[in-house]
Amino acid sequence: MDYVLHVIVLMGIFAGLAMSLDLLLGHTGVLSIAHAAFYGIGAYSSALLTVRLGMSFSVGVLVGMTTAILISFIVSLPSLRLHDDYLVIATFGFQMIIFSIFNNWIGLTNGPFGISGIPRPFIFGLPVRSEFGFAILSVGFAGLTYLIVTLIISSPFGRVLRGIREDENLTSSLGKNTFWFKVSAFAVSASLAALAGSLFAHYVTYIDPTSFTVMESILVISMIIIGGAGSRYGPVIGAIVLVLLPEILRFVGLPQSVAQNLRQLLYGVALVVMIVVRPRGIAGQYGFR
Amino acid sequence: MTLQILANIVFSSAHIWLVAAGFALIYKTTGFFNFSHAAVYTCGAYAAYAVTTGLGAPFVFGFFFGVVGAVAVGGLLEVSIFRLLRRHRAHQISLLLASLGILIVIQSAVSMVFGDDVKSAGGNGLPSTVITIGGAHLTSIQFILIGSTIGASLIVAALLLRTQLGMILRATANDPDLARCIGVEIDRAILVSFVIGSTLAGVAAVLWAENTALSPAMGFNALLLGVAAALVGGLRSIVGSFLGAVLIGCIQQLAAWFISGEWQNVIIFLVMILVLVFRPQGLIGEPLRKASV
Repeated sequence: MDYVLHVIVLMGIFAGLAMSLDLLLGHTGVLSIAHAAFYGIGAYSSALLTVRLGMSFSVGVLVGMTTAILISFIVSLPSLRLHDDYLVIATFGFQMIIFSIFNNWIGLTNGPFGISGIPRPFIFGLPVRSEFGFAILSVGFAGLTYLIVTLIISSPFGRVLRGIREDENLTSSLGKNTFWFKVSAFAVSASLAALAGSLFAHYVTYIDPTSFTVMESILVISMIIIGGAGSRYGPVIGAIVLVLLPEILRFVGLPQSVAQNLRQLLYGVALVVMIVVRPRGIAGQYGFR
Repeated sequence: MTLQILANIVFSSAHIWLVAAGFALIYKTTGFFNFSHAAVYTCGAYAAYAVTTGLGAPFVFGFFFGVVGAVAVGGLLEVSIFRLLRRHRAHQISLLLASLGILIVIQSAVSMVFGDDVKSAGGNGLPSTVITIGGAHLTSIQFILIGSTIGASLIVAALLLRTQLGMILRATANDPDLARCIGVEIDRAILVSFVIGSTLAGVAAVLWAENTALSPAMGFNALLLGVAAALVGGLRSIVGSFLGAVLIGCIQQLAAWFISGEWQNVIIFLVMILVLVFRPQGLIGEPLRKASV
């Protein structure tokens, strides 16, 4: 039963990541490969504040989200001036830079040695220690992300985002400052990724830079593509599918190293197959035409 | 000491150019950033490794097999996946994402078949002497790579500028639709660019493996620098990737000498981003129209 709850926790975290990136990718049409970096910023903020400064969980989360927003401006202001492929490469560059900082600024992040001993979170004074507690917390955070994202996409703001996705010049000619809409969407997306990151840090109690690489970004993108971009449930479906897939492999009984690579291989295959066969994904609205 | 740094820069830039040139050539004819180029690189190195270390064949044989392996993988990917996506009129981004997926698949497959660990290449029959010029040391393998790069660049330049095939490639790169109108078979031109690009990547991969080591992520690491070099130098011109490679090679070696190796990526990518933002056509290139970037 603990195992099932563990899977649910992971699904919650990744659903949050997928939904937040979908705001950018599926609704605004901006492909960012830097999502793992913001995930990491949330995780490291939470970890550092709780372990080194003894702050509470909520403070860690809030500071993480705020830091992510501030850093998102550093990333988005130059990158969003570019379009399509060049934008992707720019975000890719920032992802590599931020990862390098996680890995090399030993004084701050302890580099490859990571940060351990991240305490369990306290929600309203109650410690969250059990798998069950975390599952509730994770689903709760995913739900919160869902609410925020849905609020945004059903609002006029969301409509402008979709306008930008479909035809940025037209939307701009209607008087909307498309650049600032994109920057705002980017900031929201980054802050929600950081939220997921904080939860992740407190759940696994030890983080190191290897959880926040380009591969992680691509994994989240795959979840969106497979589940369906630009829809409310698509990213959640994608997260569920891609979290369940390797867990099913577990029962096949392969040696650990092979299983890890097989899992990544399957992610890759799923991504390619989806792009070729059904770019809209399982439940998506937007097929990158 | 400065001469040694210079020698290192030459070697580094040569290796980076081989990767950047192939990547840029594919971008020019197809219009998308092909990240699976890293997978082609990795396959080339491991193909050579399989032949030299697995079967005990001499290096020359391994080299040939490695390059052929790289070309086979690159050509296969173009014919099966990318061509299909172009038929579907897929957006550049879809092609980019597909290439990322392919990279993950191939990298994982290589890990599964050969293992995650860093391996050293066999180098049977490869002279392993150190050549010293005025205080700077280069191994024979490094010399071979530099020599191969010079040779390859001359061949590619001659091909692109002096042959009819080259003219077809340049026409396709310039305006595919117009090229199609005058009877150019775009698919074939693109396949040729993949073959040329993969050959360069294969040469780079096999020689780098002999010089350093093999690991499943080696293609990805090489491509990072190659992409940065191609973008900084300018994707539109032949000389561009050359200049970009030299610049990135300089940054890499100077950063390694004076700061410390780990931060080289940060500096390289900062430079790349600065170029993208302020001069997206690269150092050499006609200014791009605002709508296209």
